[in-house]
Amino acid sequence: MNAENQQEYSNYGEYSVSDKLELSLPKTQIIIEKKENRFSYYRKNSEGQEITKSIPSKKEKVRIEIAPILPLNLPAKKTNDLIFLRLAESIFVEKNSKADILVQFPIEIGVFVVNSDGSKDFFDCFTCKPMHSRFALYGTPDNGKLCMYGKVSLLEESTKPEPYIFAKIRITITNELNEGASVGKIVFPVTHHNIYYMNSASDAHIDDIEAFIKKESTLKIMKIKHVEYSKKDNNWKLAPRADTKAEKRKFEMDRGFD
Amino acid sequence: MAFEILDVQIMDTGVTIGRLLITAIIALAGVIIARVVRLFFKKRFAPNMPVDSAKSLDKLIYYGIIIVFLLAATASQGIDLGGLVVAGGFMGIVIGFAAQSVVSNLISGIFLMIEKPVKQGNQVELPDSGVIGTLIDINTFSSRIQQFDGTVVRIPNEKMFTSNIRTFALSEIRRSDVTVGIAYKENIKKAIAVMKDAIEKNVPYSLMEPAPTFWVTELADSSVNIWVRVWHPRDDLAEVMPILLAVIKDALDKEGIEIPFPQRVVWKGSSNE
Repeated sequence: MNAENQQEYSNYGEYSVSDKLELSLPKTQIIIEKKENRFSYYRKNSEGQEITKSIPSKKEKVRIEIAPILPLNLPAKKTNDLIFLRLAESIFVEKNSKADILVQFPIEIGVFVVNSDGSKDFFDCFTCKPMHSRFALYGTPDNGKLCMYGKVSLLEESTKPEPYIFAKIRITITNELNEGASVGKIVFPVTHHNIYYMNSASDAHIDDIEAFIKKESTLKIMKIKHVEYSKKDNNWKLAPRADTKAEKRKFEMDRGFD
Repeated sequence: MAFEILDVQIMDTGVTIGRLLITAIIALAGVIIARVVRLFFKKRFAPNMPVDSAKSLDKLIYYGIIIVFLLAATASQGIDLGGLVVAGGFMGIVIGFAAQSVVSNLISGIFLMIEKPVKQGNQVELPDSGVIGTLIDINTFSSRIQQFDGTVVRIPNEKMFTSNIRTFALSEIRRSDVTVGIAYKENIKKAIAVMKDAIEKNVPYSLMEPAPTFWVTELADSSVNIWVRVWHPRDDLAEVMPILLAVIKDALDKEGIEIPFPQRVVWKGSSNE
């Protein structure tokens, strides 16, 4: 994706529709149009499917917000809150050391209707890359946990992830073992993570995580800790949520991480 | 005059018809309240609970309220249930012999609820009976399984308890298998790569890890048979199986990989023979 193509896409943020609004996202087109007593919503998705909905309203305008949301809704909401990130290249963390990496994080796009009191109602969601709406099992078939799945690559500090397809997440891995460890997958509960987006742009960042590789009795485990995204400034806006925010919970990867 | 009948004692037990009537009214009120509470629970709370917990709690609430009202009614009217218990014990032995299968079903139902080999809402198969479907209820004497065509099969609890039960409830995923035959002239590795790619792209409920696996199982008469094994979320068989073979066939067709079918050459002898 080059810079020129990125310019063609609409941005995240709020839109006020009084007559007609056309939004263009990767392989996705959205048209919201004022009819007699309603606003019609039309979306053609990346697989050629067409979705139409209506917002009955006699108001002159309707406000909507386009924002990144957690990838838990498509193709269906099946998992409690676990996301399985398969690293395209595994990370080797030397003994008693720390690795700090920036990674792609798959996202879905949410469409919200903004009420007159400022509250937001979840209206629609879609993905610009259906290959991200996949499942994986963490563990073995007899006792594994079903997770949403994303195959992700490492990012350089200066590179931007593909807009509307990925956000960024920073992962700090601390290896407390007396031997090196290879990390090929990261699994963690995600529903209490916030996503932030750059207003009137297409950048998105999710809360970070810290991972600690430890040994408990004979088992090597990786403890995962949620860390609030700290580098956000006034240009970053908290994305509304498609679901209610869950309580933070401790999670440890005790079924392998390579 | 009309109310004098209410003071008439029943068989010198000290219980009058009036007291019995009040007991019945309180018990009836208990049943009505139990039904209202049950309805409220079903509408407001049950939808947000696991199916099996909701159904168990539903029964507990319903019968609990009725029992509490019944005990309150008898106690308030001075009716002694001790005699009934003795009579009930004797009757129990008589009924036990007379209605052995009914008691057996009742006991089996209790054990099914305690052991919980399956829970309400689970997909189950009773291979001996040929019944496959979703377990919708375990009642006092029987269990009900709704088959995938919508019909409901009532199974006596005794039969359910003593049958082999196949269920996927213990795992969050399950596997579905299909067999695909390719022509002998085709490259097996290429065919497998094509099928794998097609499944990953077009069967969204197929798990990426564990990934689909492909076993060459048979060098058959007309084809090389490949066993395709796909893992998917436990309850989503209907999202995978109807499209799996179609996706594979489309992908093989697109790549020009032949799926052969049995052919027979019929030779007609010459007229000289």
